[in-house]
Amino acid sequence: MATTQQEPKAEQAGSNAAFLPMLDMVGVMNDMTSMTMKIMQGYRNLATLKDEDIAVGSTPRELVFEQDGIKLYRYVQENTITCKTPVLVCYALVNKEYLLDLQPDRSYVKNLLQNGHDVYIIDWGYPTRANRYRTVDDYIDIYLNDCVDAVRRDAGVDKITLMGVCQGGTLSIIYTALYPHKIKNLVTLITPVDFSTNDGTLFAWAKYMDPNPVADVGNVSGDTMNNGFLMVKPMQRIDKFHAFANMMDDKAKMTNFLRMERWIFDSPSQAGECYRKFISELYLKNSLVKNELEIGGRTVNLQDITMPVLTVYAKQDHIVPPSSTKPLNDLVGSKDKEMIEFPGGHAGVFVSSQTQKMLAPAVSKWLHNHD
Amino acid sequence: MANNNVFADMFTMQMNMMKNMTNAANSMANAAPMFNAMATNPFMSFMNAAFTNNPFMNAMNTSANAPAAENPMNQMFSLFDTWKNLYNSWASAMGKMPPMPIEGMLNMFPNTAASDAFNQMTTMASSYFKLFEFWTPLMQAIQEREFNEETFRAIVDPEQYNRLLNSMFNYVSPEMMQQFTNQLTNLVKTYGESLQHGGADVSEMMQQSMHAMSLIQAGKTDEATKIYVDMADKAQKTFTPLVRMVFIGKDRTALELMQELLKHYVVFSAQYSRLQQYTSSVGQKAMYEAMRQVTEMNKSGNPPKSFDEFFKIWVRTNEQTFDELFKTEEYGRLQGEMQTSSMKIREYSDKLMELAMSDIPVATRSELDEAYKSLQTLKRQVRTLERKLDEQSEVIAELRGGQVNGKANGASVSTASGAAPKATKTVKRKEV
Repeated sequence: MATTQQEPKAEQAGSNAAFLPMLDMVGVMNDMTSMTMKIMQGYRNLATLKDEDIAVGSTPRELVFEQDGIKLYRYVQENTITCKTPVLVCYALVNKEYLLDLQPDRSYVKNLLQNGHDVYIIDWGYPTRANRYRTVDDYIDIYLNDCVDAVRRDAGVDKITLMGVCQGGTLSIIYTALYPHKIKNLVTLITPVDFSTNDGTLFAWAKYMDPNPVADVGNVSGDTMNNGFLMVKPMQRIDKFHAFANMMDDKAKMTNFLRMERWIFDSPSQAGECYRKFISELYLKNSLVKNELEIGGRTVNLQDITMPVLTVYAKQDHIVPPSSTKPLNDLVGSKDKEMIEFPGGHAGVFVSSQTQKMLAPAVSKWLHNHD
Repeated sequence: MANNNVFADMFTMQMNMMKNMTNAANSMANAAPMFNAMATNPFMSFMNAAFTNNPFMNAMNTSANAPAAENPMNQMFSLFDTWKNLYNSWASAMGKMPPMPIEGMLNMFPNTAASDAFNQMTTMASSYFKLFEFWTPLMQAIQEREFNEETFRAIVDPEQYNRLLNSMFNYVSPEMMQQFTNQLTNLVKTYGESLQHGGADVSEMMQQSMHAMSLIQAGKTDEATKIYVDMADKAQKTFTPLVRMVFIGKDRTALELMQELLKHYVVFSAQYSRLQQYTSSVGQKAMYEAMRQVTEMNKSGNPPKSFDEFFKIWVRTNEQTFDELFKTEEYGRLQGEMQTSSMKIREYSDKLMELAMSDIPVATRSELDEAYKSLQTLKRQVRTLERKLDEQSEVIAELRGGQVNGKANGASVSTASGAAPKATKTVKRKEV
């Protein structure tokens, strides 16, 4: 675009050059034309897109166990298993677990398989109104406990590696403190532990939330959850779709982008009672780090976690800031503990091209050393 | 783009754009089988609205054939106005999309990711073009005189900028809020009529809330607060005598529910208006900051080279400014309170609806909820008992020197506190 940087001269008044230093009128119009065309092209491309163009979770897996709409899968291992302790991935109740297997060239799970691990994963399903009375206690003592036992049975081992992601990491920490005899290693990724932090906007907002009126009317819809996450960075949504308009002619880039969008908007509802306890006990009372959280009539004491612990966090995570994740290693009773920082944001740490060659190999190396 | 014949270039560009857009529209029409049902297809209706019979395309033709003006600067500004109208019309066409609203169009996309992306792109496009409309006079002001806060305030149209912010934040439009208010009014009025208590003043009261919202957005908070107080007072005066008159039964329950519903509605309306006011004032602060940065860039001889560049500056500035607002205690508290009042509205309208349907011989939501609660309690108890039984079986097996219950893949599994779920009953295997 042509833009001169000269000051307008009086003698040029009336000519086009008079206002070119500030405004390249044609250039601006060109921008508008170009953007309109891109958007219309974008609409056309979107309208003709097929489901298979943006398929997710393509790594083959087998159903091992199912209960109340919750499914446990084992990934098909085509390579030799070099790490004999199976890994159970416990994802968050918010959003879906296929973030870890978004597409073949951006798959944390696939990378773990290629590094010789036996990988299981929990799909928490989509709670309906009939599930509104599920509690955090149920998720720990029934569903996660049964999944852990199913992995132990299926793999034929006494102890497993429990790998929790985000809120699934918090559940994994609670579980491990209550059932340490079943867990050989605990790995947490981008996991909130200390909820007193003010670094993340969500954490700041949660301090003024009353979960009771929300849980009183039923489940918390996925849309409500999503709106909360999107509101944290309202301009990001506009900015990224502005960038998206510029990549519409590249099908690979467009479908990569849309896979991520598919994941973002695939948000299950949260069981009302689980939400009530999670917000009130963890966000408002911060009871986990105070060793005051009660599950099934027992107090969760982080000092009961004595097995090796690996904590992974993302440096630019604005959903779960590092200040919430990092305190774990100081709170557990383990002597063997390690912390790894990765570049990227909350979900980006799993899907960015930069971390594909870093995250899974680093975790795998640690797991092999603790097998 | 060459500068020596700016009008010729512009007209050529416009003609090309029109041609390309027509081609794009035709391509879209031929692209997917879903476009075949033209008569009933909302997407096609949208395309027709956007490309053929709308002021946008007419204006395109008009501007392309416009006679050359004597004064190029006037002509340029006039063309700018035309362009502003073009994009206004375009955005308007996007918003209208007769005969089906955007929700209907979204259903036409083959998968939800595409549909969501369409929705998001529409939001982005709306912001992009609205910003352009807003930005044009500001840029002219920067060019013509010293840009400062006073100039900015003189030029800025707060309502126009609020529309831009509302589109960014997906706030409910005044029209939708009016619709919601009307529905709530009808619900309460219907009840009032059925109870022969008239639902007096309710309709007027609800309309007042809309007025109060507009006052808050215009910065007249004191005036709006008076209205909200008046509304709360009216709600109390309307229902309290009625509740006293009706001692018992369904009528009394309905009146009490209506009273609660209206109380929370008043609170929610006031909070929602305040939230929008925050957004509006912070958004304008961000706009001012963006313009200040652009002015500085201009002074240093390095102005934005395109609208896209300005758009990015504006996005970055807003991100930073809103981030500061979001982290304040005041904003967090307001958002939390608003969530509570909105949930209360839902709770009481659910109860009111349930009461209205209580004579119909179907299970109510509350009754089903009771069943769900019992079911979850039973599941919990059954699973706990199963585990205890399994533990006892293991102990017995160990005492007998046999193998433990859990055995898979040839390896024994000692389960110290609770056995694994039984494969014979629950484990399924299949290719996924």
